Amino acid sequence: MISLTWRLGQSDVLHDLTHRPVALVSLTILLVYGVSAAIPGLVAPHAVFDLATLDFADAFRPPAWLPGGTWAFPFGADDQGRDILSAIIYGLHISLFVSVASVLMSLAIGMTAGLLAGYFGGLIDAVIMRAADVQLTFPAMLIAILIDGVIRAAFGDAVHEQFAVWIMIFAIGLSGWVQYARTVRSATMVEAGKDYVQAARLIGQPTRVILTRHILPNVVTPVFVLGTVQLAVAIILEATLSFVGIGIPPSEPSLGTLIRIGNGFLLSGEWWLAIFPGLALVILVVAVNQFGDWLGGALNQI
Amino acid sequence: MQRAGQAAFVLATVVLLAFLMFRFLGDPVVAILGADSTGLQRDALRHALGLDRSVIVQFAVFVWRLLHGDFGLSYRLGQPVARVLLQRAPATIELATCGMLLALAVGIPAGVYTAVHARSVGSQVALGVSLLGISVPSFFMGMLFIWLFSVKLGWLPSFGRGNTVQIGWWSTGLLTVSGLKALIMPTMTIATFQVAMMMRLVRAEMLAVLRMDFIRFARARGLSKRAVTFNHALRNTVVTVMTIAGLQFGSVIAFAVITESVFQWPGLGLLFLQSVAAADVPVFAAYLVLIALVFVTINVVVDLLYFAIDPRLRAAQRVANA
Repeated sequence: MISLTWRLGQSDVLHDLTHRPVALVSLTILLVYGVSAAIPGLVAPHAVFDLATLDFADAFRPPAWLPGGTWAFPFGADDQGRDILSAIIYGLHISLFVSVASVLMSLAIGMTAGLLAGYFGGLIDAVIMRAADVQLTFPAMLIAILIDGVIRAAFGDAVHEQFAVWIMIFAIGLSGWVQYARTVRSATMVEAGKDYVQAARLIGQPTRVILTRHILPNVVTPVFVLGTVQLAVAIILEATLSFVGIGIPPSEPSLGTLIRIGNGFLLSGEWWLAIFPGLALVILVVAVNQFGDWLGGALNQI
Repeated sequence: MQRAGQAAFVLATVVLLAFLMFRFLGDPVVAILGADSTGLQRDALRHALGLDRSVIVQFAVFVWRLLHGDFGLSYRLGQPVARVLLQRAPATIELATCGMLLALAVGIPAGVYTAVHARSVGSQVALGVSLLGISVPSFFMGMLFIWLFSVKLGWLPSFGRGNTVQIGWWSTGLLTVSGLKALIMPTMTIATFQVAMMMRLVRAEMLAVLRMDFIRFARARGLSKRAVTFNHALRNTVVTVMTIAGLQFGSVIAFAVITESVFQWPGLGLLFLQSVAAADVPVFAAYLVLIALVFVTINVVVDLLYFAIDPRLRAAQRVANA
């Protein structure tokens, strides 16, 4: 970690960033999204979950630039008079929390599995890699849906609804560990044969220390790039699962849940309920992908 | 050979997982009889279903029944799972096949074009659009189509399969006007991501081949650009493109789950989602086995096609045998 920070400082990555408009715009968008998602209560113009502030006179108010719209509700209001923009900001809070947490979970599982498989080889390697093979047979989307279904069947709907956010993190996190495990495993196999690892072993360092302090810092760079790519995947997965009705429930909606709710009003003409949360989602995914593209290229140079 | 062993291992693991879910998730006896049944009734049914035997025997019976196409009863529908799957399969197969054909028909030419005319305006536009195709989640794409073509223009139906024609057990929507109209938007939705993906992969592969010496030599011989592009370059990308197409077909089936949900398309994917939402374990365990079978088959077929298409592999095999 320290060595990576040091290498970042030494390289001209930050200089490079200021000369890439696409990367810079993406980073700006991500910062705006991140800040809004972190403190929705301060950024959102309306407290959408405070029922007392809702007024049914505002129900189905169209976006500000259409007849009947007002700038108090820039993207219009939903069936209960909730401001769409504020709902998006609160939804972003949930969506980003779920996707970032699930990426961290995949990362933790995948890196641990990859380190162990690459360092010890043999039976441990075989078991982990066969499990990875089985999981890779299925797309992540199906795995996440399946895990959700298993939890629902084991604990019932009530429990599922109560812990929906954590179940989502678990399902998406568990569906994505294989890529990290494969990357870290092959890098670890290379590093494990090098002299510094041999030396650490000879001076009697415990295996745990060799793995975490010596090998890990040297295999971590590609994992960061993979993490950004996987973040976009996790965001889409969360939104998709919530959209089809097995993810985050409407009581505390994520972006996907908002789009699902809005979808019910699409046919009757109130398009803004679904389209604006959808656009917010697409912009987020494009920004993450573009930033990831740039990061992948930049980190390759150091 | 090694791939076949791996395929068998994956299938066996999936069957074991399906059995564990089937057996240990929820109590099938309560699910069938209802919560107000008496202990005596439950014991009787438990015995009738063979649930009082040892787990090993139950697993053997489970595998035996699977091999005979018997997946048990759906909790939610009260029908044999196999019959439900068979009813729903044609809708998904027709959707996935049409989506895949559209992806190939647009993605491959677009990939070749953007590789050959790398600097043209058309290529830049195509690449930009494909970035959007990859970034827009398919459910949102489907929704945009519904908004445009059903709500605004009123051209196409927003849900369902239209009228279908029954041919034996197969119900097809390809023979009626309403069936074809209903197929258009789901096909476009499922193909959008695949077109973008296919185009980018074909482009990358074409660019790699076009840099090779034999292409320069072919040009030096004065062959027409057309001959170089199609007879020399494209031919050498076929193996890779085929692999991609095979793997993509698997992901089309996965994406069908989402597309079917958006358009309420009565296929396997929608059935899977409904059974997950209702915790109908026999159905989603069976779906899991079925999908694993499809994926593994695709992988093996792609491997075999390598040999059929690539003469170098056949030659290597002959050398190895001799």
